[in-house]
Amino acid sequence: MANYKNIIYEIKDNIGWVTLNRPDKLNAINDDMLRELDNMFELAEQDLDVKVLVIKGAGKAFSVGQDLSGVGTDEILPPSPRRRLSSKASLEAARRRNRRWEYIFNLCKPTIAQVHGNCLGAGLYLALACDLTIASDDAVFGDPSLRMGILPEFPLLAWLVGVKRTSAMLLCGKQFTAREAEESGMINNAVPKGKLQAEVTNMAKGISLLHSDALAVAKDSINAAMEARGVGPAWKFTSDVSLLMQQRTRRPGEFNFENARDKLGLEAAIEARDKPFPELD
Amino acid sequence: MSPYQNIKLTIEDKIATITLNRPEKLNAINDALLAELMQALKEIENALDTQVVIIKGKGSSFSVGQDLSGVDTSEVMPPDPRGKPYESQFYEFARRQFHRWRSILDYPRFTIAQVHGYCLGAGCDLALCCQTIIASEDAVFGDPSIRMGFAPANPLWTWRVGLKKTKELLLTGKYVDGREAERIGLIMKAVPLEKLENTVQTEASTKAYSGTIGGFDLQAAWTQNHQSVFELAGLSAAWRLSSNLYTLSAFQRPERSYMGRGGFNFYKIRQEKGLKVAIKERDKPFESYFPKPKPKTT
Repeated sequence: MANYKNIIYEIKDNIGWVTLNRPDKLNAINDDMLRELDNMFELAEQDLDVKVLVIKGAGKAFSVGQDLSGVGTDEILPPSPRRRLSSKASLEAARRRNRRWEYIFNLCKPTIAQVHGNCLGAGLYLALACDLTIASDDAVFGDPSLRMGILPEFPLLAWLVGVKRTSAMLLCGKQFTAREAEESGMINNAVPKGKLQAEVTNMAKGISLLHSDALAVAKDSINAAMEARGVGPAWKFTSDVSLLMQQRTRRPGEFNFENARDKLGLEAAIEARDKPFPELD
Repeated sequence: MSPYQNIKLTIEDKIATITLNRPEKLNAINDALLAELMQALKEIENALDTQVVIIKGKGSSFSVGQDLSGVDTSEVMPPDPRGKPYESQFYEFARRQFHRWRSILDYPRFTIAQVHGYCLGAGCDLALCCQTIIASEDAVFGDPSIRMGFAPANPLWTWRVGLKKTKELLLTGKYVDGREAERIGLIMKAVPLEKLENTVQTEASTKAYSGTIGGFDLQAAWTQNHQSVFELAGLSAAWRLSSNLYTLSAFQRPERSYMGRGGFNFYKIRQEKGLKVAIKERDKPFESYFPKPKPKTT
């Protein structure tokens, strides 16, 4: 098995257990973790011993999303305007990102996200791209990308929870509790914290008894409904628009996350990012 | 003499009732029943004054789904690969199936499924294709196809209960009772068993006799509008594809990748031990993970 540093990948009883493992960074996803996830998905998809994948986070949270430190994050974040990439290179990066989310969404194997604590930004995308999302009642779902001028990259959200709730999350920065997420169709179940592991294990074991060929075809058939609604083109469109967003001319006085990070450090920059926005219920 | 043996059709003024009538088989759908059902729908369509159709089941259940006996089931089960069918036969089967279900959803009358007992597999597909489902609280819904190696045949699940719940139900073969079905939006409402008949009758007469200003004509217009909204969201494209994938899934090789179940082979067990044992063995390993509710009527 590959030697991973940012994730833990174990196979037990035909279940592939994947743990995002940067607990000191609340499992912020950087390029190294992303590459390890890419590699793991590719191996797991071909592995007949793995019937179902479970993805969870070590420590206090599932994942707070993209690593915003700017170190080793060229791939997970949209290209910074500072890098002055050619249009072609930017477009390639955009294509790689939307292909990655679509690949995880359409993986020929059932996937379960086991979510606790914060589940934000790219962490949210990962949790929702899984077929089933089961969360403990302390989980929080949200995507603050727009506050940094980064376009959210997960159009599937609108199909899961509807346009109104998607706007509340993306435009107003509303964070969803596990209960609200369940009621809105974003996730399958919100369970008490102490029962999360047992609930997910039960689900994974049950699924692991099924025929993997049938699971692959059934998943494809269900996802076809999303494809027919246009989620594929929406994904491509979203990543294209995110390029435009990176290359726009900033208005005077506009908050510049990268400058704030250079001047104040990461934590203070995140604080400055969130400060103007009231907490929404 | 009535042309129907596997269903009963009664038309009283504006309300038609189709009763699935194989109670000893829990109204399992075989080719004969399916043909009579389609025939009855055609007959009702020709009766211009009929405005509401109720579909229900005789005996303990609405319907347990496709008849799995392997006898007279060439229209409800994909061609058996062991019979060495030609590829075109698979596509033709999928095509017929797609058009059949699609035409029931697009039926030009107000359709109500009155569900009690089991409502599984193709039985559930039939109920989902009705415009409204009213069920008893103890009714049991589900599609266990995946447990026999088949992909689900009907994309309407995603439209009714959303992507996450659809995957939870269809990738596990889980069963839910009427109350839970109401909570997740699979059915319009669940009522106590003893109130089911009455509730459905009230719903039907409201639709048939009170209706709206403009009555049935406006209803028909709205229904067509409703259908086109589904079309714009890609329903038929998805349906064609899932019919094809359902058919394709008949190619499963049972011995492959059934780890932990010793290569469960539905057809083989049916042949050796009979249908009932085969169905029991199909569901048994899952019962501890996904407990199955039991309807009061069965």
